[in-house]
Amino acid sequence: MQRSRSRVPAALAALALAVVLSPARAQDLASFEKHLSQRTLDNGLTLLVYERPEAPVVSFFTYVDAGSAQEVPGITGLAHMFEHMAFKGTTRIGTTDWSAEKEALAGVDRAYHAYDRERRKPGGADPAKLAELERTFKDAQEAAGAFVVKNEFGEIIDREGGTGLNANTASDATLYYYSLPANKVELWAYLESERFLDPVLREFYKERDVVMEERRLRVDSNPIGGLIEEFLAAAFRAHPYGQAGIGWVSDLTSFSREDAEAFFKTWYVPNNMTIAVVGDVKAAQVMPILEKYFGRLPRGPEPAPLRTVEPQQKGEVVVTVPNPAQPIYVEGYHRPAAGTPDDAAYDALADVLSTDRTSRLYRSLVRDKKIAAASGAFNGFPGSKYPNLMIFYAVPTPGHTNEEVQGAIRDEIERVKKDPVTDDELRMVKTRAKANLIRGLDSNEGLAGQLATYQALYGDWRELFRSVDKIDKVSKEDIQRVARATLVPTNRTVGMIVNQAGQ
Amino acid sequence: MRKLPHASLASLLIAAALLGQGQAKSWKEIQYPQLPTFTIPKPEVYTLKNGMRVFLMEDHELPLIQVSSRIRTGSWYEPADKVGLASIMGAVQRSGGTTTMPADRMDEVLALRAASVETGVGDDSGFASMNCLKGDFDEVFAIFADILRNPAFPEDRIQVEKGQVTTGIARRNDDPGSIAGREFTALMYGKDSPLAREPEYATVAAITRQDLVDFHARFYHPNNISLGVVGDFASADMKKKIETVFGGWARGPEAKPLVPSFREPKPGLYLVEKDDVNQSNIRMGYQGMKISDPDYFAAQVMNEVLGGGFASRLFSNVRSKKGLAYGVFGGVGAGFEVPGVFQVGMGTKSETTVAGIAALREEVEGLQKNPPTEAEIKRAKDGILNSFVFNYDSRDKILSQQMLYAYHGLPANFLETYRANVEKVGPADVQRVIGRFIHPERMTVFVVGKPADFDKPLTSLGTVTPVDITIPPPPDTAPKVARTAGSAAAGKQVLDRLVRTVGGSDPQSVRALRSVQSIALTAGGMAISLKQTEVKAFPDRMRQTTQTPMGEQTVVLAGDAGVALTPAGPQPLPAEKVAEAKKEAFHDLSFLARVAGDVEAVAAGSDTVEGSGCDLISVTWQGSESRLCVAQDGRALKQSYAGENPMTGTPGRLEVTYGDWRDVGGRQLPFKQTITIDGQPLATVTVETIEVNPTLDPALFEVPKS
Repeated sequence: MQRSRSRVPAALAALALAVVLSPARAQDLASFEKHLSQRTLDNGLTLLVYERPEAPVVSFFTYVDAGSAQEVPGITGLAHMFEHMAFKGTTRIGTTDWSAEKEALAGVDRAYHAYDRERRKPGGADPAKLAELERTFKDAQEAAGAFVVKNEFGEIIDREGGTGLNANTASDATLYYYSLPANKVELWAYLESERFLDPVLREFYKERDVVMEERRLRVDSNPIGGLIEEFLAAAFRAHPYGQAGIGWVSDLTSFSREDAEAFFKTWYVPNNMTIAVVGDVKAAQVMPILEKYFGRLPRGPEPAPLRTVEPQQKGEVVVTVPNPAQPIYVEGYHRPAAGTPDDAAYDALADVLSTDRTSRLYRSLVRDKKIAAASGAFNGFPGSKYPNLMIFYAVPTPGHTNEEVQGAIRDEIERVKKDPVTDDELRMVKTRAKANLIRGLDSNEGLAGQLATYQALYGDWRELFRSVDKIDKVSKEDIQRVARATLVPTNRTVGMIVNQAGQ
Repeated sequence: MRKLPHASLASLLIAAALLGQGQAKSWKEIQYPQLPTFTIPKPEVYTLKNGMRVFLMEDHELPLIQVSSRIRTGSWYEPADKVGLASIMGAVQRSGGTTTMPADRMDEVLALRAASVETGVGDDSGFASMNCLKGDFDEVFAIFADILRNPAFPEDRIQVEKGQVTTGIARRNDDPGSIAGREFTALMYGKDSPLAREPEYATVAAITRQDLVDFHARFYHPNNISLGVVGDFASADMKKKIETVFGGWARGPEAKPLVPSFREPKPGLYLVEKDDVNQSNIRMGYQGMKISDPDYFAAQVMNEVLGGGFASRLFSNVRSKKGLAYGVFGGVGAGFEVPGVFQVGMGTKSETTVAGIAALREEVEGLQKNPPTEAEIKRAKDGILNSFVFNYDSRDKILSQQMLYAYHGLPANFLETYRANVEKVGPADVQRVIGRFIHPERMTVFVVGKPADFDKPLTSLGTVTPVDITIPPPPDTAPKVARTAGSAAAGKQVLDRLVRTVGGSDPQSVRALRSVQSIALTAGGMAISLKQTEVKAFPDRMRQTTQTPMGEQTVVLAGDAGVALTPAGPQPLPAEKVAEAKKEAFHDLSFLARVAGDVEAVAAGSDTVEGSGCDLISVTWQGSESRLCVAQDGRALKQSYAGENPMTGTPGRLEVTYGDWRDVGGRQLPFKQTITIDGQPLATVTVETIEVNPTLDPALFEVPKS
């Protein structure tokens, strides 16, 4: 590659005529490893670079090992809120004058707390005083807003040819990702390190309004979202998996910018982050750039591990949600966290029950009984880092009820507990696992996500390959054993939407 | 002040010096190396003697082969009374297996190889695809070809697929976003246009196996099909295989490209009332442009300025600055054969609905009042051009593009022309596009939301046309009854008999009824017991209190208003529920007796119910119909009508068998009802007491404001 002295204008990034054929790449671990470089920096940040020169593009994935499970009552929704904040820029990006803006933001904090204190006064707020404090708060936000260069962080990425720019807050982790043309790795390194080195949580209170709209979209005005929120709260009495990931409304309308900053300082430390870069790069050239930029992040204290473990459920829990929408049925069983020796057996169990038209749930509920339009099972809900749920669901066809699909699901559960799966079923599971691994290698974005996730969740990205070997070793007895241990009534939480017109 | 690893001053200084070297202080200082040289792979394209167009693209990265094909067909081609035919055919083509390989066996054969063969039909084309490991190619390709040519369409799988479609129909009003998308499209093109029409229970019921066979036979010929193969193969080899498998397939009638009919939108203000949401979905717009329009490229640049990405006006102003939305979008849409839609849209809380409409309008007008600046245009162009390489970042993506362009008659170098044209776009071009395509005064404004919570009434913006999204019920399975002078006279006689029995000598004197009853719901193999008190004050007031396992629920209807009193507070009933309840009132025998003077009755033969003979009549009043079997003594033994399953809301044919008739103040009324829906047991109602004309407190029928 030629290094040019001046930036290449977009229009001249022309496509030349030399043909480059990439050699066939093998899909086994040994061959894959040859193209993967791994480094852990002094500050604890883990970097993975995988060379895949199919096209001159590269995908980036940052996995922060903190999600909504790291929240406690009072700050539910904060992990997701911070994720929104991570697009608001830094002291250098997104502002016309940082030192002036800094003062203005301190003014916003003061005005907010004065307003918030009055709002929560025991005995009730004084309406005139509250209105005045609210006006002051709004004015302070406007004053701070005068220094903002709107959405500059995202705008830079868009302008420079970024695609797939997004982020996602799950129970286990917060993920940031996008792709750029292959000659802009340094831009990404600069932006991604800056945003976690030196973020400014500007426009915090306005963005809280945006997140409230997101909540309305995904939960309040969405029957299935509403059901899931109730269902999870019922399934997890102790562990934060039962909390609303988007936040309970009371918390969402209360937490402050300082709360978000504190969350960031605790959890966004490089020793708690993993980064994967996949695409048309050479590790030898790219690693030094990554080290240069990400080495700046100061190591922080190890965040305290979550200490609460969901205690064993002693009795079945049922939550019924009346709604004008059509019925939906779901039931969940508690199972161990990812990394348990039985992971492969649980995956195989869900696979036999649920994958494609040969699956037991499809054949029974959809094909034969015709009581459901769709029915399936899957593991790892809402996350897999901690003990989680194996989920069964069904969407009843018109005129059929939750009770009918429940009965049919229970029949399939009893079947799989009573008799071993067939040879063909087991063979299908194993072939699918191998084929899925191969298919997963054909996308930079997909690979970057998988590598970072496996590295963070299991401590070793090689688990992506090893998990397929483990599935290959699963026996019929293993599947039956985990089914019998897990799929029992006292371990079950049921959730359903019951159609109720006019409610 | 950030803590550095070592506390000594010397190392602080060294660290500071090191930090100063090498990283850019600003992103503007970063220098980009040249983008690596890259040739866009191009497929090899040729045509078989029978007209099938083939696209081959080798890709040796992974041991996989994918085949995809496009067929000239689509739901645009289906008849209006059978909407859903194309997509059902497309689904059963695969799920039903072939004449040589039945469905179950095919599913297993493919699953054992972790291979897939899938089919479908969209609006303007059909699809068939296959994906397998390279070593399984021959076997899976044979299955793929068989599916394309010889689908079996077994009746059983057709039923499964119809269930998928009717499930979609039943659920299509559950999510406000999908209501918004669907109904707005109908406003843009007309409800009957193939671009907007939806399958209904009646159209799905009308679809037969022969329809599927005929639809497939009409379109699935090699000269209507293009085939694309990408993966780990050698082209010379693959050509031979394709010739072997498809070469002998004879040509058939050529399918012509179709331009679907549509009409112009009628600008105005439209509302779907949905009272169980706290967020409104807003859509505003009119018809857009075609891809063939020379201003298509300048429009893409304008779209970036308006709604593409973080720096766009909609995102920055409506979302970030005003905090009014999480989802906000907009732009001039472009279609291949038909104009797309220009629209702006958002979701905002109910309390900022009118403010949201104003904010969107402000941005559309803003394009005229504050045209895109040179900086905005440059940023938009940079975004499109700098990301252009992503159009070519995988071989299967390139292959699908080439097949898509060929299908729509666009040149193979369409993307390259696109880039060159975007490069040329300047402020004058964007200005011209705004002149041609930005017309805020023409916008149809459409809202799905809860009007009771809006910041201002929607009527403050103009006349509001409500949109009825009630799902039309399935076709009545009961045969129509012919009305002649004879059958009308006979019907009236039977009706009079019934009225004398249940209404007594003066049916009009029954002004109100209070009944207490227990209901055993028996659907789906479970049993729920409910106790209910119902007070009806004719003609149109009712209060019904039911004790359920979940607590007490009361519904009050008074005229056109209705409310459900729940533990969470009063919930107003939507207009369509109140209308449904009013129709339902007609099925009450005492009500029927009161309005008998306005009822049309037609004799429909005779029947036997539990050993007793009775005369059948069809009675109609204000569009509501039911069928009654009336014994000689005037008792109604059985009644049937089109209604709804009260638990699932899905339509069905209800049948009520009346029993345990007792005298109540000179009238005969039934104290037992056994109810089925579509032949399946639904409920048994055991009446404990009936009071005629009880003294009533008018407060019982007050509909509280929520």
